[in-house]
Amino acid sequence: MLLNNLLIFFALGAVGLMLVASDWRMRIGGLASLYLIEFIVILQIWPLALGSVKLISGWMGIALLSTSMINSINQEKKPHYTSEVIFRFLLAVLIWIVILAIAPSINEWIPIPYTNLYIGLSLMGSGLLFMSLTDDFFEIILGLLSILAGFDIIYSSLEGSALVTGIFAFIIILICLLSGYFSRLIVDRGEE
Amino acid sequence: MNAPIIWIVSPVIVSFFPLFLKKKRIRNYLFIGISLLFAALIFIFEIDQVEETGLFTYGISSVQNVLGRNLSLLENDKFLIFLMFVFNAIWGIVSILLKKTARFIPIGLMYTAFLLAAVSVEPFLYSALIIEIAVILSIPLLVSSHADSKNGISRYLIYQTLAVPFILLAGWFLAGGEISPVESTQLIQATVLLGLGFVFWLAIYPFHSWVPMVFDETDPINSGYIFLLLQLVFFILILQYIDGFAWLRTYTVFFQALRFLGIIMAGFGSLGLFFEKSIRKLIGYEFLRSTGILLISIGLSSAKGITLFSYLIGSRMISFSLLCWSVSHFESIEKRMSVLNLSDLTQKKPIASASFLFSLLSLSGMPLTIGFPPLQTLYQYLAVDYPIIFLLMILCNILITITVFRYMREILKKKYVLKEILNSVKENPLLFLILIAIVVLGFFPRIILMRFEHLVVGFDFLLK
Repeated sequence: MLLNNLLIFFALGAVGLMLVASDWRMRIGGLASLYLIEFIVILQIWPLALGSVKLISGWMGIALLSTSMINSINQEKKPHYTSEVIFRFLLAVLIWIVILAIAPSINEWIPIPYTNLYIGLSLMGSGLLFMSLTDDFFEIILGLLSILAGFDIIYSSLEGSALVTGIFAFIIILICLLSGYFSRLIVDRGEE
Repeated sequence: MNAPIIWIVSPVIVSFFPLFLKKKRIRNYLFIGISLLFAALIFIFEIDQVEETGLFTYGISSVQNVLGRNLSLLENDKFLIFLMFVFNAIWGIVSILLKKTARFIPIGLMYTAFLLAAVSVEPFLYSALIIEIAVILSIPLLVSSHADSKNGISRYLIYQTLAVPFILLAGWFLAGGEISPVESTQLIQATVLLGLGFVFWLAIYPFHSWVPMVFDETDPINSGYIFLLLQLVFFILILQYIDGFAWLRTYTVFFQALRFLGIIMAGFGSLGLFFEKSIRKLIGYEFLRSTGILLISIGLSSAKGITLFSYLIGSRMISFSLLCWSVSHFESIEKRMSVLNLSDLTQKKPIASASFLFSLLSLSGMPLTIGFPPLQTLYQYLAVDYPIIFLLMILCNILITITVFRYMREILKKKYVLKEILNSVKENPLLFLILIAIVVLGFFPRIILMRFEHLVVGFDFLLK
């Protein structure tokens, strides 16, 4: 019980950090924590070997994202205003409350442990919110990864398939590679 | 050796080799050659007829096991395989004729292979994941890394990714429901999830905004290639779902929804075409309209509707390709043009302009074009069973026809010298020949459209 509550708390904390932080390192840190939480949640249902695929693929993706961001001009974004930070946080809290209200009904449809369902739905909702507040491709990628991590927690609780795990890991790495493909290097800006 | 290894795994591996070639021209020819080779292999290999090996034919198995799931290409899938690889080759040839740098060469082969894998995977609900890989792969094929605007591409990625959870969850709900009917609440839940997945996949209202945006951000030679193949595979998958679940085939609400969404999309597309000034976005709206018409044909919920779907998709693939090629040819003068400049464009590129108008006429179903017979048949069926949808379709078509006549008036504002037109033909004789071939096909549509029936022969339950 305590572990479940802690997992929910840390998951919301990590995704909240992604939402309010303006520094890309903090956001990536939040995402890395999300994958660790996903791993711990899935470990309660799946064997260690299969569960660790999620953690390894997620962190590999994070390594790719970080590599692409190190020399990217996107990292020089201005920090958020305090009002923006408060707005983003309150919006996220609103989403979490809505999910808290609807999760029991969804739990009737999808019979999985409540902790997994709540964490999964919160990550999906927050990811959707994250994407809707930006037109920056890097942030969209972070939002998508958050949605996929949330869905992964729900789907893994329903079905344990090695093929799905493998393809999911591949998709996460491909999405992170896309971010690298579109990140504009500082050198490029100099050429302009 | 088995069919998935030949037509799915091999293209993925082979698509890397041309990347090592420095000369773009050789790379293009190699891409065309490989595509034609894979298309030709369907005549050599007999699937699942291991005993019957002839002098020049070899029997192969249809199944490849991958981590407990199967990739399965059957004898009935041969036409789809042939169509997809020939499509690759034709678009490769046209990109050379138009002197365009096609981004889909050579990785388009891998894209095609993933789409084929999505069609062949069993259980077929896993196709959502493979489609997602194909979608991610298609993004570098659509735009360069330095593209100024990526809003459409971002939305394309987001909406296609959002489809994955819905389709997979629907798959989980339906596990075991292929033969025995599932209970009614479960049926509604599964249909809602499946429907949402399809809505995201096919860019159906209100998730359609990315289509004109993506077409605006990309060269039509790339966007046409990517989205025509993707649309074909999406519709084949929808047919697989309907064919695979007995309860879905008899669920009338599902077909009503298809017709309703179809007419909405046809309406949106037609209105967009009518008001749009950007030529690139115009193709996007025509794409939405095509999606709507194809949905309506499937929504007829009978064998005749499914057969008609095969004719419609065949005629639209040809006409839509011509539309993309003509706009791409225009863009050798200037990028992102407006329809208000059509007369100037016609003076400089008369053949491209003729192709542009002809393809639009064909897509609107004008007589003596390849688009006429299937669209006319659709009107006949709708007039008998669904008169309101029929009337709305006619209204949509009136909008398109007025649009095309408006373009004609714009073109006829200037005078043209025959010598210049002949020079344009000399400049690009093969494009002119393709145009003539498609015009001639309009007189004898059965020659080619009948072949497209093979696309749906595998759906036994739907054709009963």
